[in-house]
Amino acid sequence: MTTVNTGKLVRIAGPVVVAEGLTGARLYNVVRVGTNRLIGEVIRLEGPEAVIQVYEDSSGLQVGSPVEDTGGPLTVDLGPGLLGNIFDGVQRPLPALAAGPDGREVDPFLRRGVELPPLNPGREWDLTFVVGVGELVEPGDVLATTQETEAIEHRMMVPAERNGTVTRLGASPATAADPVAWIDGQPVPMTTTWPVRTGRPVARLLDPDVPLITGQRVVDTLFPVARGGSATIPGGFGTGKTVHEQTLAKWCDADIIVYVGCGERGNELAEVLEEFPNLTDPRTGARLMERTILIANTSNMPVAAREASIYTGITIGEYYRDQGYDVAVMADSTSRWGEALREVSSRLEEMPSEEGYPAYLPSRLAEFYERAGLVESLGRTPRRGSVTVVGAVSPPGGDFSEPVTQYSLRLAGTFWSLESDLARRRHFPAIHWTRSYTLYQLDDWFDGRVADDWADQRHWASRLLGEVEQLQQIVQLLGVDVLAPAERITFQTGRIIREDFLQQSAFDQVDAFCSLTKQYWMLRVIRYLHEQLLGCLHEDTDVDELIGLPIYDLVARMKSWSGTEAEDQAKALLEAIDAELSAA
Amino acid sequence: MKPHTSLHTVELQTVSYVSGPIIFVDQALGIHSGEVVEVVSPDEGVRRGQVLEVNRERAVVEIYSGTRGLDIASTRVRLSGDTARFPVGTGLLGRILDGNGDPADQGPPVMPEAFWDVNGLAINPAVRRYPSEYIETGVSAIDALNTLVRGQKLPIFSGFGLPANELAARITTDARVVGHEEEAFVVVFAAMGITHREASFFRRHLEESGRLNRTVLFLNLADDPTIERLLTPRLALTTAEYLAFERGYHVLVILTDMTHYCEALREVATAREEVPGRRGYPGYMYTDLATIYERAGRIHDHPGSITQLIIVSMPDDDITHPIPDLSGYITEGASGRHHRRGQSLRNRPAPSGVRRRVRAAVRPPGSGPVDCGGSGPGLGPVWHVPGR
Ligand SMILES: Nc1ncnc2c1ncn2[C@@H]1O[C@H](COP(=O)(O)OP(=O)(O)O)[C@@H](O)[C@H]1O
Ligand SMILES: [Mg+2]
Repeated sequence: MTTVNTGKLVRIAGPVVVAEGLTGARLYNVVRVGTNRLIGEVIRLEGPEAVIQVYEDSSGLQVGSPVEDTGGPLTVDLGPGLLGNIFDGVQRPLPALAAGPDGREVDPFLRRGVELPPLNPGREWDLTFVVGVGELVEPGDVLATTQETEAIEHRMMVPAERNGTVTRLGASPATAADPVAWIDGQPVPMTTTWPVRTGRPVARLLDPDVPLITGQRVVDTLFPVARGGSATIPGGFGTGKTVHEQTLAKWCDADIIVYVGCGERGNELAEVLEEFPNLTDPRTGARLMERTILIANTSNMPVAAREASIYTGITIGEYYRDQGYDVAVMADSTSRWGEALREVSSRLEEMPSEEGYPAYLPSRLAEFYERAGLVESLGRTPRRGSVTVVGAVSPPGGDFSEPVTQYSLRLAGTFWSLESDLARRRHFPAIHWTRSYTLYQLDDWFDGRVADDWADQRHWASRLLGEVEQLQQIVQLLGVDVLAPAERITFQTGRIIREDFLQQSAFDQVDAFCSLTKQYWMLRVIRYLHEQLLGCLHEDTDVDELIGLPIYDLVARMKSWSGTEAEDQAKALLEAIDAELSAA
Repeated sequence: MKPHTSLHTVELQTVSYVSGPIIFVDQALGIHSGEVVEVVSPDEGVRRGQVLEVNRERAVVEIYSGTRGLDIASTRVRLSGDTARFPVGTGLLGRILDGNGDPADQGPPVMPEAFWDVNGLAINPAVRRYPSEYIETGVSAIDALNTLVRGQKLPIFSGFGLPANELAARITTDARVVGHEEEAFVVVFAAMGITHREASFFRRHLEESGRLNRTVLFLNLADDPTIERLLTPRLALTTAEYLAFERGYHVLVILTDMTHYCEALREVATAREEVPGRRGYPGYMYTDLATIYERAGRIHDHPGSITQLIIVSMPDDDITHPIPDLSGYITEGASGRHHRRGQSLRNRPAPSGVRRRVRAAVRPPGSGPVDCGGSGPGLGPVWHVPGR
C-alpha cells in the first residue's frame, strides 16, 4: 500500500495513541506508528486528531513520533497456504516469525515491528484452470483450483466487483503473488485480500437445517447446533470450555476448522499444535492439522490485536465458506475479546455502560455472531457453504448475569451451559442438561438420517431429565424413600442418563467420539430398560432389588462399544434385559 | 524550566503534581512511553519510576518506591531513554535481593551478564512446548494428586491466615526435578508484601536447608513501598528467563502473594482516576496478570523451563473475588490436563477423604487445610500442611 498521509503522535496511553495531522485518514484505516512502524488502526476521528489502537506493545513511542496512514483498512491475505498454519491476531505467520531465513529456529520471542507476509511467498502451487480464455465471469466464479492439502481443494475465485471476460490464464505452478488469470486485461492474483471487519458477500442466506455433528452425546442428542448456526458456551474457569472447543475442533464434521485462541493460554495452543498433526480426520484420513487454521493471540500478546483476532478468524472462515466448505470457527474466549474492547474503550475515556464495557459491546458481539450462516455463494454455479460459530465465554466469578454472557445468549442459537458444580463433581462435559437449549429445529434431519424415532427418544430423555430435577428437590428434603416406586425408577433412569450417557470423557480413546448410531442405540437401551422396569411394577415389587439389578453394569459399559458394533451390542443388551427381568 | 543535558542523560525539573504513587512531569516531550526514569528527590535520593502515559502537556510516571518526600520545586527527573532492564546473571544464584532487585544480604554487587527488559517478551505460541515432566514439590498433596510439571503455572488459593507462606518455603527447599537434571534445577522466589517475621523465616529456612546457593530470593516486605510490588515479580521472571532460556536451567518460580501485587495495581489505577472494574480493580487486571503468568513455559530446542507456583490468598475466602478468579482463568490448575499423555491420573477417583475435605474448605477461615487451586472453584484437592 502506498503512504497517503503522515502525522505525529500527541499522546500515548498503553494500547491507545493519538495522532494529529492525519487529515485524510478514514475510520478503521491501518496506520504505521513510530520508527518501528508498529501496526495500528484508526478507531476514532476527533477534529484534527485520530485515535489509534496499536496492535503491538507501544512502549518506546514518544510525543512527536511519526504516524503514517496506509490508506486502507485492516485486511487478511486469502489464498492457499492458510491451512495448517498459525497466525497472530493480525495474521502474522507465527512459525515464520520464529524461524530464520534458513528455516532454523532462531527466535522464540515475539518482537515488535516485524513484518512478514502471512502466506509463504515462495511456495509454488499447481493450478488446474476451471475457466477458459474468452469466458465471461462474475464474482464468486472459480478461476482455478489447487490441492491445498490432501483433503481440501482450494478454489480461487473472482473477487467482488470483477465482472468481465477472462483474457488470459496464469501459469502453473504459481506463487502467492502470481496472477491466476486476467479479467479484461487486469490480473487477479492467487492471493487476494479482504477487510476483516466486513463480512464477505454471498448470494443468499439459507435457513440452517443440517446439524454439525460433533460426536458428543450431550450436543448431538440434546442440544445440537446447526451448520451455519452459532453456539455459546459460558462457564467459570475449569468448567471445560477449552476442552469442549478443542474436542469439537477434533471431531466435528466441518471441512475446515478455524480455532481462535483469543486472550487465552499459550500452552493450550501448544497442545493443539502437538496433538493435531498426529491425529487423523476420521472422515478423510488426512491429518487433522491439515484442516485447521490457528489464530493465536494469547493473553500476554497485545490487547488490540486480540480484538482483531476474532475478525481475522471469521474472515478466513468466510473465505473457505465461499469456496463451498463447511467451516467451524471456534473462539476461545469471546470474553477476552470483550475485555479488549473494554480496555481500549476505557483508554479512550468513553462513558462506560454495564460493568465498564462500552455501550457498543452488544452491537460488536452481534457483528461477530451474525457472520455465522449457511449460504449460497456468489457465482454462476453457486456453492453451498457454511460458517458455524462456537464462542466460549468466561464470566467473572462464573456468574452468567454479566454482559458478555447475556448478550451472547441473545445472539447464539445454541446455549451450552457449563456448571461449576458439575465440573467439581467431575461430570464432563459439564454441560447442564436442563439449563442448556438449542433453537435449531433439526429433529427431521435426525429422524430421516439416523432413526425415525430419534426425536421421540430425544424428547423422552429431556422430559425425564426435567422430571428428575423436580424429584431431586424432594429427595434432597425428604430422602429417596418418600418417592413412589415408579418415581424411584425414573430417578434411577435419570442417573443412568447422566452418568452412562451424558458423561463423556474427551480423553477416552473410544468414547471421545460417539457416532450418531451409537448415541441412538445407547439411549434406546436406557429407555427400554426404563420402560420394562416400569412395566414390571406391581404392588409388592421390591424397587431396591430392581434398581440394583446386575444389568446396570452392562448398561454402564455401553460407552466402550465401538461405533460399528453398537447396533449389534445394543440388540444383545435388549435381549439380556428381557432375560434378566423375566427372571427377576 | 529547561531540561539540563549532562552527558547522555536528560534531566527535567518540571514536576507539577505529586500524589500517591504518581507524579506528573510537564513538558516532557522527549520522554518515551514505558521508559524507566530516575527521580532525584530534594535530599538527592534516587528512586526509579516508569512512564505510564505521555501527551503534549505532560507524562504520568509511577514511582516504585512511593512519592513521600518528593516536591514540585526541586525534584528532578532523569530520563533513561530505555525501558526498565535488570542486570541478570548466574551470580544471582545464592543471593537475597529486595523487591527492587538491590542486594539485601550484605553480599557484593552482582556481576551482570546481560541487561534484560523486565517486561519480557511474549513467547511465540508456535514454538512453545507443552508442559510435561514432573517436578516433585515435596508436598505430597501436590505430588500425588495434582502434580506439577515443567512449564506449568499452578495456582494455590489460600484463605487468609492459612500457612501458604510456610508451604511456599517448604517447596522452595524441598522441590526437585525427577531424573538426571538435578543440578540444572533452581528456584527463584518472589515475595510480595510479606512480613518481617515471614522474611526472616524464609532466610533461615533456606540457609539451614543448604539450598540457598540454588535459589534467588526477591523480598518485598509488607512495609516496603507497595508499588515496588509491581516490579518484584517481573524482576524474578526476568531472572528466571535468563536462567532458563539462556542458561538451560529448570527454574521454579514461586510468587507469593499475588493478592498483594493486585492491590498495588489497584492503588495505581485509583491514583490515575481510572474507571474501576469489578470491586475497584482495574479492567486490565486480566491482561496485566497474564503478562506475568504467561511467562511460564518451555520452548522447542531450548533445554530450560520456567514453572510457576503462584500463591493467591483469597480475600474473604471468596474464590469468585477478582484476584483468585482472574488468576484461576489464566493459570493451569490441578486438573490433570498435563498428564493426559503421561501416567494419567485423570480417571482416578479422589480418595474418599479428599472429597470430604473439599467441602470442609468452604468453611470460615481458620487454620488447617489449604485449598489447592483446582481448575475450578474448589476443584482441587485440599491438603493439610504437615506440621513442621
Ligand atoms: N469432556 C471432558 N472430559 C474429561 N475431562 C474434562 C472434559 N472437559 C473438561 N475436563 C476437565 O476439566 C479441566 C478444565 O477444562 P478446561 O477446558 O481447561 O476449562 P476452561 O477452559 O473452562 O477453564 C480439564 O483439564 C479436564 O481435566
Ligand atoms: Mg480455557
